[in-house]
Amino acid sequence: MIRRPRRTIPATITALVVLAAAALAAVSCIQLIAGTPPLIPFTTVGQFAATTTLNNPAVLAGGAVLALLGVMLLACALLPGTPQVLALASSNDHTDAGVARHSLARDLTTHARTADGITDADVTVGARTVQVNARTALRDRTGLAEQVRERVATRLDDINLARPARVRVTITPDRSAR
Amino acid sequence: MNPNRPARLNRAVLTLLGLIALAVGVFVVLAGAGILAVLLPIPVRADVPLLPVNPNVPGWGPWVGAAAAVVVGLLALRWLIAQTIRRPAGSDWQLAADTHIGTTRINSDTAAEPLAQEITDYPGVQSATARLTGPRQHPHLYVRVTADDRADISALRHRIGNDAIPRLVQALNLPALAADVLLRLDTAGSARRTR
Repeated sequence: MIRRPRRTIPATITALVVLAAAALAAVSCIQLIAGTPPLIPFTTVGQFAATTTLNNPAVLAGGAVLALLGVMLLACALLPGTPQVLALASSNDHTDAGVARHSLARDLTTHARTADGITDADVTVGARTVQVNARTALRDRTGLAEQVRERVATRLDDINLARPARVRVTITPDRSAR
Repeated sequence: MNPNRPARLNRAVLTLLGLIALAVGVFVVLAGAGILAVLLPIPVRADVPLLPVNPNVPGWGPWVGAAAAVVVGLLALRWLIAQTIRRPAGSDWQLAADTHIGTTRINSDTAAEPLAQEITDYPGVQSATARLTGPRQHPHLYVRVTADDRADISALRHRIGNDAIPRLVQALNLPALAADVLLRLDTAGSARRTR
């Protein structure tokens, strides 16, 4: 049960732009029918189009911008993105389970912090990797990384991801706590 | 039904709009640079105006324009509203075996409520919601569970899969039940270490 990003932000922005353009066009057309001067000055636009050719630099630039916008929209739609929900190993045939990625990162952070000598930790969960950055005030850092790794790995074993994650631990000195 | 709504809709509409914008943009650039005239057998001249000086717009032009704009605007509004609808809707199920005598109806969301209650009472669970969707012959269950960081996840999943869901299947007399369990781990309730 892997869930990819929903692309809500590009979708909302695009929908709002399309909605605003459609509203403007509709109001202008109705004003034209009613005989009042329309919001979009159709006459001026017509005069501009009648005096401008396709090889006009402004038209070329407009076309390039439109093409770039198209590529950006396609990128939003087609690039898969980091999964927001990671699949858990299946326990029976009828049930799919997954864990929300950001919540897993927060959970592993609390578990990494429980290791002795660790003052703070940051955990980033990717599709296949778990990166732990733990800080310590101790000068002697031997064995700390193993301790943190063990805490995180134990919790990951309990959560039981469908695709086991590689755990990387880095220990950095915490000068503020010294 | 896709549980990750509206991801599929967004991808489809963004792809469509992206393709339209890309096609129009590339056409304008190619035609304006004079490359299209070489590529295509029909003459595409880049040095003529975009529109004639006095375009002869027929009387129904503004009407068609207004109608098209309203349709596009309503579709955009529908797309916008779809961003807020994330959960598949429940439906009414008929429970009685023989409908000649009478019918027993239950809303599938109401039917899933006891399951959510039961899961909420499990150790380590902070909250749970459950939703049943689809026809009664092919039901699909969506469960969201928020557990704290001391919860035993494998035990929790075992209880959901082997106690809670079978009990619901039995209570509603369902043929089979496909389920999606989405787990959120919440650290807010845990005792923070003092430093």
